[in-house]
Amino acid sequence: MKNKILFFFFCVFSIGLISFSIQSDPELIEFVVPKKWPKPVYNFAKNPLTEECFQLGRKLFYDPILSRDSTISCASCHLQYTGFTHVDHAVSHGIEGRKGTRNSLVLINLAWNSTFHWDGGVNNLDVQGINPIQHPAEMDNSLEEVIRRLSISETYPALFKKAFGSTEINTATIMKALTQYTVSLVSSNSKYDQVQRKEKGISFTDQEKNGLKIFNTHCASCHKAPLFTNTFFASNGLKIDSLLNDVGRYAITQRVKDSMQFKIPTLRNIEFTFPYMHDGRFRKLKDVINYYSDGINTKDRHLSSQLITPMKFNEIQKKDLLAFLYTLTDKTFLYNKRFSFPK
Amino acid sequence: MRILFIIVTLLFQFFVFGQGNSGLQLTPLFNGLPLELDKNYILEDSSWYKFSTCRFYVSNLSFFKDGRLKEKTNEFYLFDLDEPSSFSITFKNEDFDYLSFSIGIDSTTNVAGILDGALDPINGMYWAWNSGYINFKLEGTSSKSTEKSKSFEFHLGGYLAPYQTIQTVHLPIRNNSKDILIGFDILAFMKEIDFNKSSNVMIPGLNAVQISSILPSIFTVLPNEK
Ligand code: HEC
Ligand code: HEC
Repeated sequence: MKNKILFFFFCVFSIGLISFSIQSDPELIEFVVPKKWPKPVYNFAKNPLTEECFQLGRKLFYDPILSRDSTISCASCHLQYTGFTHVDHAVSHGIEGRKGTRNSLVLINLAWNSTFHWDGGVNNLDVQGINPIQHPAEMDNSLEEVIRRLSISETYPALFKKAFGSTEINTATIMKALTQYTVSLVSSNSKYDQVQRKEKGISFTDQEKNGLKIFNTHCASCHKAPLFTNTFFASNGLKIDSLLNDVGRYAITQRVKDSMQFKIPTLRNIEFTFPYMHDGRFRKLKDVINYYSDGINTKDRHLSSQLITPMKFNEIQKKDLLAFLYTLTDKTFLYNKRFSFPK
Repeated sequence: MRILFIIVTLLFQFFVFGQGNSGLQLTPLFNGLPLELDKNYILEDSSWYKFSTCRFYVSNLSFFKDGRLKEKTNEFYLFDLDEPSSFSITFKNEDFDYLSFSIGIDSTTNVAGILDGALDPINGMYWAWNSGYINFKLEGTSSKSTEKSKSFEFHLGGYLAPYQTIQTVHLPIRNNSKDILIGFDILAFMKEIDFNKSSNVMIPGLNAVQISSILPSIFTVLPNEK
């Protein structure tokens, strides 16, 4: 009898040991490319999406542990409800209220971008996250310190083990996890998209239709559908801010022709991503339209050729264009629970 | 899994050592003598030099015989004068008469995303705001510097045309089953730099290209009397 009991415990113990040592593989998830969209640029083969890694990235994105004094998370400057940007600040505000030099960018459809930041200085989404962590006016931290904190935390080593098969945390695993989250932020369900997909009961109003025509004539060459950016760089003639002295892409390439060229931003969810432009100089979308209509200095030598002919919209045309831009709002994206603060 | 890895590594080492292995060592020099960090060097013309950082990447190590490639490694090695022992290259003892390697990182690797080991950005040889590797880093103070503080900093890198900075070093060498010793003379490098143009180069561009192009000429094969 005693032997039987012993044997029973032995079995339970062995089964426990075996099941403990068999690691369940992370669950692969598919990156869904919306119908008729181009192929993503991001190389998913090098960082295959898994549920465990996405959730780890999401947790990191919302965790102020990444900043030196644990006050600022990625989400402080990239808020979901506003298209993952900082609203109301012309230039971003980081640790201890320090001001950066640029308006924080939206995080929308990043999988289709080959360069990042307003000047395109970042050449791969996987390495972008090093910037905010190290930037003195953003998180002002070091990679060593982030790795140290995550490694001694109670929760993270186990989560890294689930995602990457090892509790060892390094720059690459942190960056890959963050990317799994940010690359998954796809917005493709605005009214514009629903009309394109000919969904039942959805159609443009006359005003929106007129706006689309104006948009196609004057804006679409740069803000090209379906991403509403051709992902290149251009100058829309903004006068240089003498305090910030931001020369755009020239700082990266040192090529004269790149002077004052900035990333052409997506216009998806533009209704909520104010203020606008690399230095956040326009607070309202109306101001942007007025600028394109009447404010461009057509003699600016950096101005891209598409904008040389003045547009001179009348008030009705301006309203039409605005109405069209509002059709790029995607509430299912802005309120998608999968992207929100992890509970 | 880990055990398998260890066994494979052991077998591999056994196999490689069985073939006879040699090492390649880099020796930093100043005016022909071993360079030490934080030592003040004063020359006869009373110019002086002091170095605090010297680190660079070595890649594309290739061995040739009669002009034909015999072996090539795809490894990236980080040389750091602060920790010279962390730099070790071993290779199979084959018959060759010539070797070449690059100082720096090729453009494909520069856009490959996040990498680990020698290429982990944590090593301080990576620009985040203008993503790309710093191929070669030399910092210190010198009477040559035009800065008030007499400091100089050369962070040489950049892979985008037309400002590519990666350099290739070619050295004729006979394989005699001994370790290969390669020296590079930092004084020779400093002498070629036009300090009036800049004592600090921290971004890719024309300056970085010009200064990088000095590098291949400072490498020489040293006799190995061992
Ligand atoms: C203090 C505010 C701030 C914080 C914190 C911050 N960012 Fe940003 N983010 C910005 C600004 C500003 C830019 C634009 C930078 C530029 O163009 O130079 C940006 C740009 C980006 C981009 C590039 C988008 C594009 O389309 O090019 C990504 C991706 C990004 N941030 C992700 C993150 C992640 C991940 C974190 C957390 C690790 C983070 N950010 C933390 C302000 C911030
Ligand atoms: C030549 C290419 C080009 C054309 C044509 C163009 N834009 Fe832009 N647009 C840009 C660039 C570049 C920026 C970013 C400029 C900067 O911040 O310096 C921009 C920024 C914007 C922004 C601000 C986005 C943000 O997130 O801050 C809006 C809104 C906008 N454009 C709307 C329009 C509209 C509407 C039209 C047509 C009337 C138009 N654009 C035509 C290149 C263009």
